[in-house]
Amino acid sequence: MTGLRGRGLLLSVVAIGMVAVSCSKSSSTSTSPTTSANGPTTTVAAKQGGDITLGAEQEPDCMDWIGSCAGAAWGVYTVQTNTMPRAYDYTDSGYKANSLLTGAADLVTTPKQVVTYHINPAAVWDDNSPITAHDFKYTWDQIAHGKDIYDQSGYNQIASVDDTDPHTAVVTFSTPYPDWRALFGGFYGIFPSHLLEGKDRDALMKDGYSFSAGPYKIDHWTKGSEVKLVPNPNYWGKKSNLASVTFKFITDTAAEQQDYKSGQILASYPQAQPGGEALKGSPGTYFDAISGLSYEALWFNVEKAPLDSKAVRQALGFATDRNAIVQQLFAPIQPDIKPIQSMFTPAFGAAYSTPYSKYTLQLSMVDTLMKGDGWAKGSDGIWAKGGTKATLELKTTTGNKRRQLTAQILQTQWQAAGFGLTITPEKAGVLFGQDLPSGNFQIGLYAQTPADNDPGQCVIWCSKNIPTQANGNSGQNWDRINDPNLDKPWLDADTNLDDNARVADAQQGSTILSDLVPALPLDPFPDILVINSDKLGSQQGSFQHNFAYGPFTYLNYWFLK
Amino acid sequence: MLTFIVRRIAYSIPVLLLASLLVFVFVHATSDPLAKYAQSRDLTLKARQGLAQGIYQQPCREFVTGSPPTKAMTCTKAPVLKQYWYWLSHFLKGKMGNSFVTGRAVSADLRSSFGNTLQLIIWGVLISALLSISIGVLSAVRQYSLPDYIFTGLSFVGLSMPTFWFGLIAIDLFSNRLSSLLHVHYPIFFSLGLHSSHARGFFPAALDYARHLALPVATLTVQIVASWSRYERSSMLDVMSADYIRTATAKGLPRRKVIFRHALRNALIPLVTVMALDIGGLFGGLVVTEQIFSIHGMGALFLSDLGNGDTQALLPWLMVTAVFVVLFNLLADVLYGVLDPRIRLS
Repeated sequence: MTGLRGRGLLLSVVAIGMVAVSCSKSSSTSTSPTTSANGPTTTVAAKQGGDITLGAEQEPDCMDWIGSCAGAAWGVYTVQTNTMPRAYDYTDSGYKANSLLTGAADLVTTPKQVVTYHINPAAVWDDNSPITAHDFKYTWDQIAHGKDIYDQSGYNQIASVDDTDPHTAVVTFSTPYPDWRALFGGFYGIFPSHLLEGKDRDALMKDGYSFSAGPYKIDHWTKGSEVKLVPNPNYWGKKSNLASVTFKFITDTAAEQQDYKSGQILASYPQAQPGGEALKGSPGTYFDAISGLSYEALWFNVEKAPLDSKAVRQALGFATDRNAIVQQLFAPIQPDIKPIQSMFTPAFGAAYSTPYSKYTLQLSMVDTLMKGDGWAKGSDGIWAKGGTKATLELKTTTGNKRRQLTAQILQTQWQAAGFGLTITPEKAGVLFGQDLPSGNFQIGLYAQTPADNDPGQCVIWCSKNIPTQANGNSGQNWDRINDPNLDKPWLDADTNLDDNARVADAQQGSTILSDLVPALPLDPFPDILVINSDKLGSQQGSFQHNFAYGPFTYLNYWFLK
Repeated sequence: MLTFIVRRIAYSIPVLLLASLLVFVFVHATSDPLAKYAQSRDLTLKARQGLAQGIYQQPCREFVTGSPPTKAMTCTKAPVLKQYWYWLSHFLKGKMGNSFVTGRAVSADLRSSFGNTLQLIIWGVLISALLSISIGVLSAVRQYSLPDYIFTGLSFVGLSMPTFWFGLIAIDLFSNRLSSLLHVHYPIFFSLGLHSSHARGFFPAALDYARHLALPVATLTVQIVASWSRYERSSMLDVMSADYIRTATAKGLPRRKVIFRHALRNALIPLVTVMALDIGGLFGGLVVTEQIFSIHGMGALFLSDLGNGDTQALLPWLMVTAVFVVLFNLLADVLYGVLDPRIRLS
């Protein structure tokens, strides 16, 4: 209060000076040969120094990245990716060894899966302590054996980590884990054993931490307001051009757009929602939208009549003009957007195939399939069979404009094809926590947000993952599709350590899916970058997307013009 | 007076207890601990697995210990009244526990948010009070004059403008367009938080603070001034037609003295009461303003906790704001007696 009064005395004085404010930036220039994780990049001269402010749509709940509180993607986008070391980087063309390693890890597949990481001797924490094999072991131990861990997948399949040689971590798996490149990195990173071992990791990290082995370190995190990053002077890789980067938490979309227009933030990474094109065409703006890894789909409960009939599910595929839906949702943001034709997006690379392309709007096919299955249209134009009408219920989450619009378009399209559709919005907790696992739904409309481009989808298609008491109701095959032919490729994709064979499995699995239609893929989500290109440049030549870690993972290449 | 205050405080206790019971029951009946996962970007396969396993269920023990949620500790099995008593007995001892979502101490989040909201309230109320009283007096003294019509019209405009709309328009005009007009490359007024992270030194920090405060305080002030100035005008008109004012004028007292010494003081009584009641509500009522200007105050905290279904954080928030409403009601009663000696508080 005293401080406020003191400041208040100055108000009348300072008001006069408001117009005179200007920003001063240091202006030394460096030309840096770059080795982007995204492959070869243009060498661009960059000014050194300058403070920038960027928008963040959400605030991380905590910064103990492996704790159960660390689920928010924005924690990864802003802080984790810039401060935590990773063995492998996810790039939009797949995983690549990080400069933490001297090269790609050695993979031995028989008799057991063993991955050997050779650690770059130059890789150090910000206190100059080397990153060692013991850090790998500590990280594994914390995730695999810790309490309240967000997700233990993969780490719980590791039998041991040999840290005898500090520069070589030898990881032996108990069962094959094809997505091993996502370990010791991803959304977690590697943790400094010399600082955390024997201490309460969660307590030391959850409110922010002082260590770093990335290009930046945390300067401060003011809850509810901002997190500020400053360069890590001891980072062994590409160093930051900027003196500081502040992420302001702006949860209101309209406010974020205004803050961008006024120059208070120089970039934002908005979620894909109808209306997200508001800043497209703004002067001096780099607006780029390409389809990422995430996608929305209709998920059919194949145990619920009438969706227990394959013919009905296929008929719904032919009753849906998916292109019209996708265009209406996202064409203003991404004009070239198209519906996805498998349960992957093009961002998955080779795993993406197009078996669902046969499902276009064809009412004649609907008639053929439905009549062949014993249905007849009633006087109201709705299909009926044995006194039961083909009126379906679609459950989705509340308060999501994109899903509301999708459901409304579907209602109209399916009405024309002879299907009734009621829409039931539910709270996420009810939908994902109760109704989907328990099978209390006919059709679900929700998204898949893969963490990387791993082609394994056994978790949602294999019969062993249908929620049952046997698996603790934890299976994710909520569509309850149970087909041995479908199990085979997806099971193989989850255990085969040959990347090419896994891609072939995924394509085969996708083809079978398109016949069984337990789900109908709709729209890939545009990954949108909004950057003030008058003020910001990138040494990578152009601003890069990263579908897993977000675009700010390349902040160390950014510079203030 | 002391007896009156003690009695009013005593009356407030059952009110607060009832409020605590109601908020506890309603929050638990309606909250969705998993709502934060509605955002598809966060809804990874892994997160879903966690949801299905129930690891995000509401825990009981964490009211006190602050441990993160665990599968084994769920509150859903305990009777609501038992949970209520458990929570209240700890809340009364100042133990608000830790957030289910962030694991941080709820009291720390409340303190930090309260500080930001308090800054808005102090500046907003000060400026609003000055403007409202000035406008109200001027409108009453010059009833049916052009200024009166203008202020009356503006009051209705102010009352009918939605806060979110005014806030966004203010940002567009004074943050975006004004800078363009003046050919400066940085906004004259900020619309993002209460300070910049780069401002160093007392004078630059104070200037930065003023530039951040201007628009949210203006947004807050517009509706308050529109409302309070109408009260003040009406109250002033009543007083100005009173016999003692006529007597004072007849005695030859200067008009300025009649207005400011004799009329204004009495005309302030109803306004002060309204102000006290309104200020109590502001502690939890700046949701839209704080959201638009990205200020992490009580309103923003409420939205965030509500979105997260963080009942652990919501309950203390609701109780703190309820306490302020009751407290400022009490203050209104007391001030009424202080300002008007004719009123005997017994």
